[in-house]
Amino acid sequence: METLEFESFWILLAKIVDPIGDKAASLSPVQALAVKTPDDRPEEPKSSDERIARAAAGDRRAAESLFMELLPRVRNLVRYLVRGDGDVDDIAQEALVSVFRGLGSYRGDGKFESWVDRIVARTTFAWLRKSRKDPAGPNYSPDLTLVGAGTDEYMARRRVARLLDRLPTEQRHSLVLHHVMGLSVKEVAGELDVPQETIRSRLRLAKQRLLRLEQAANVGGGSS
Amino acid sequence: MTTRDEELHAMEPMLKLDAESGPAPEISQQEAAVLVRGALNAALGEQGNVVAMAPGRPRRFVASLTAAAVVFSVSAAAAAVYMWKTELSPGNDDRVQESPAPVSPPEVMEEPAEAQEVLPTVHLDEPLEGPTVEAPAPRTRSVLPAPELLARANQLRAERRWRDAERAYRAVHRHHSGTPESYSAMVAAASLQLEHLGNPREALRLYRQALSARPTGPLAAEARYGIAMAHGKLGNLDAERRALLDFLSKHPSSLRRARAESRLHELGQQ
Repeated sequence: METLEFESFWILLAKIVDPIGDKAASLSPVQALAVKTPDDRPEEPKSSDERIARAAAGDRRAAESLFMELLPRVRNLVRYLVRGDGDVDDIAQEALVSVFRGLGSYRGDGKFESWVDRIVARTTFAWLRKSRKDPAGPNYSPDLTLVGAGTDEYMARRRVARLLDRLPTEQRHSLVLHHVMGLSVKEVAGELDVPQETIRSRLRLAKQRLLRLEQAANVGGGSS
Repeated sequence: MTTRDEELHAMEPMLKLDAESGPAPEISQQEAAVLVRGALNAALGEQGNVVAMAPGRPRRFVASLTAAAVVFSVSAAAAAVYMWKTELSPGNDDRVQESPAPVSPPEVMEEPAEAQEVLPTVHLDEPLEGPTVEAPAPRTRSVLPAPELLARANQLRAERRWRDAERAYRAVHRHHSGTPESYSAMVAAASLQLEHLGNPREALRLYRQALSARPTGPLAAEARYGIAMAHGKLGNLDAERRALLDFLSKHPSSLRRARAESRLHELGQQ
């Protein structure tokens, strides 16, 4: 049975505000932009490489088109890295600024998304340092689950993110860089500027804790 | 490989990074466009009319504006309905003059929670009955607000407690009929009936009810596609074909277009 996709409650709210929301929501990002500003219609979509080159050259339309595609992945990575939903869009936006400014340095050696992922992770770490947040402190606003009905996979991913929210930050970041971004232990160590053995230790502890949390959630009805 | 390693591997599919939904909360295309343009404005040093990034909290400003605008919009609609009802009521002139405005925008922006307490009692989707109308009464405290009920239902669904989740979604609809949460809950309950509870007939009824309530609502595509799937489950292949055609004609840009066309092709060969 195919899993149906649903839009969130926030999308509903946004559509109340935006009278064209209903129409645009079913369109592709490029089409949605065209609906929003017909006079600012992007040109026909180009290949990713061409769009990257054009965006790097300062072509705003190419950058918009490219970033609309990147944004969901960027937001998802940020959410994996930070606790709660509160800062996700702020950090994602800052990460896009960093990506745009760094486009000229992208040489095409690796996968573009992987290059973007690293910038997003670095931006997130910088954001957390800059804001001097203690994610586990009293200012941490837990996920209020102000979401609508989503697909089963969406709900499952949200649940995993809430489990990650309960890991110590350094363990969480190591786990996400290794298991979500797919970096090697050596690469994770380089990104976080700690010895490889420390990363291995963090990964081991993070896995143990995550499993305990998962088991406790299953036993206790999932109120993680 | 140890048992613990195997257990972690079982969780890894949930640690995927892609452009699909989750774990970040979903946002609309409009919000995404605002966010992207704000980033580009900041990167290019432009002062766009969408979002000028402020240090620290660029998007929260937009979110606050959106939330305030939403509350204001809904409140204004509720106030309009209330005032219209009151005007229809003979001999109510004094009450109209004496009663404070049901919700004034500044108060709503400062205290949205209190404003929302009253709003769900106004059923905007339903026809107004009779000229004698009393002022909207505060909802009884025994019923949770719609967002909380919906969040509870979502949590049950996340825990894969399908039956409990379905009951919770129904509770949202029962206690807060006419609200956006109710509409969302109706479609969610339908999907549970279809996908997990083995009751496509009830799913069909709920999808139709949702579509009837809001034929052009934001979940109309989901409802129309769900209707087709429910017909398919029931073995009503002609009805499924018609529903798919209806879905494609009304939502030609849907992400499920390819699936719908593929299914139509299959049905054509049967």
